[in-house]
Amino acid sequence: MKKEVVPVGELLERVQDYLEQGYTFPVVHTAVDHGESLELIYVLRDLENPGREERILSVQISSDNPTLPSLTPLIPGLIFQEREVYDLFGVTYQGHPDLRRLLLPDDFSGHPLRKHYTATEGGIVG
Amino acid sequence: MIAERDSITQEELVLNLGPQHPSTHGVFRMVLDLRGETIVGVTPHMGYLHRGFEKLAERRTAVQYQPYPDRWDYLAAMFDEMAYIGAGEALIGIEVPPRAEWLRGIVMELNRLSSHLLWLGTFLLDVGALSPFLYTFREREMILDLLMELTGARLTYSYLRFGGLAHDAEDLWLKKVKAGVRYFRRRFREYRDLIDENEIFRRRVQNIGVIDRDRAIRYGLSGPMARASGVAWDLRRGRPYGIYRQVEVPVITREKGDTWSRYEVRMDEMEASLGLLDVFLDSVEAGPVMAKVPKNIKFPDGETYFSVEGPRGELGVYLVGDGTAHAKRMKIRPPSLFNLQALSHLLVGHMVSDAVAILGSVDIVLGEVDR
Repeated sequence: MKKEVVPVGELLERVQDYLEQGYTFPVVHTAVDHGESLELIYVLRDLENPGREERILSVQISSDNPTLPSLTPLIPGLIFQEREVYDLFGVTYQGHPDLRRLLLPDDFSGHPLRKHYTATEGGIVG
Repeated sequence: MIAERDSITQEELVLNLGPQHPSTHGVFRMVLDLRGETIVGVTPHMGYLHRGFEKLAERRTAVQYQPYPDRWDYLAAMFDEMAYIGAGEALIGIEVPPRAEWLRGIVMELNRLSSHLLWLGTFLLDVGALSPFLYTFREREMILDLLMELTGARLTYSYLRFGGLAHDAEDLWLKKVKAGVRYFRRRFREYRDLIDENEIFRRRVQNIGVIDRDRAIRYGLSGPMARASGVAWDLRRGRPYGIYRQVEVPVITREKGDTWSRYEVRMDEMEASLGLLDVFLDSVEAGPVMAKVPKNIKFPDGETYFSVEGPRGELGVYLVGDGTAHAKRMKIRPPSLFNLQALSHLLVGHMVSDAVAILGSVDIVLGEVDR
């Protein structure tokens, strides 16, 4: 699997480029916790040309106070995926139209898919 | 009198539908903003069935995790198993013996039938047709009996393993499936006769909940939802995996993108599944069903994305390994969650009673949406 490393500052521009080239289908978006840094993964596909491989973008951001621009205004199909990453990893997306927790209750504290998360942090006892 | 009626039509009303409501197909909740009986806003709420399956994949070893995927989408568990096992096999580089691939194809297409049958029955129930529910559940139960005979479970099969299958299928079982395919084919004609020309059904679904092709792609819709809007994309054809590399899978599409088109696509897909089952049953070859794999499976460094065409669309697994028996990260791409993103586009402007029909045609399973 070929990943393309994109600096966070160039993300919007690069994605805009790929959208114009026809990679308009959002396959998946998620994050991976590497400790010091968080890696954000975007997979885009061109449905018109099945012969073209998926584009896999990888963005590294600092894991304390992680922030990056939202792609939802460009790709509406990422709205729930970005909410999910916000919910489970605590990543803030600037410019997201509706950044709320997706799966966990609104009064939940902590972000369970981070490696340092412990169940007591979220108020779960036992 | 007239003044009173005006005040009713102009006042905005908030209607909470779910999470305990028979038409939301599980614990899905949506808050509808209504003006009169017309929907002007939709806020979906999910998470009531969140069990943290992605975190569990980091805490369990690869082998320990094998029974868990069955619980993502409990109506089509074989596809979940295929997505997880397939991702692991791709990451580790395991070759699966041909007989196992054929049998995986057979159980998956059977599972697609049982999942679509449940959708058909409950969808028609939503629009007020009671009897098809009884027919489809009769047939679905027969498929579940077949799967139970093979795997020991009606829904949560745990049949696939890294490198193959838990055990072989007997010839007698394959004969039963063959007889089943003949029987189901007759029954499908009966369904079409019963449902297709029903005036009430047609009026309730035609031109309702339309989504165009371009929007369907940008919202990330997949499976029958996308194909009903004219997106000719099926992973079994576009990104073939397992046995689908060797067979020609028809891609069934409709152009209109309304609720009726989604019904038609799924009905045709069931018949296509029967056709595929015929091919699989004729071609299945003798041989082992398990490759030589180490007892303690370890995910090597690296990452992979593997996806299968489930009954609801693209079911994918993004798997990151770090050389241990645990996944460093396992992300599920749930097709229902992506399909739900189009919900407010589909519902706004329609009546409350249409909302139930449209939601039924999206075919969500909350086990998968919430994970």
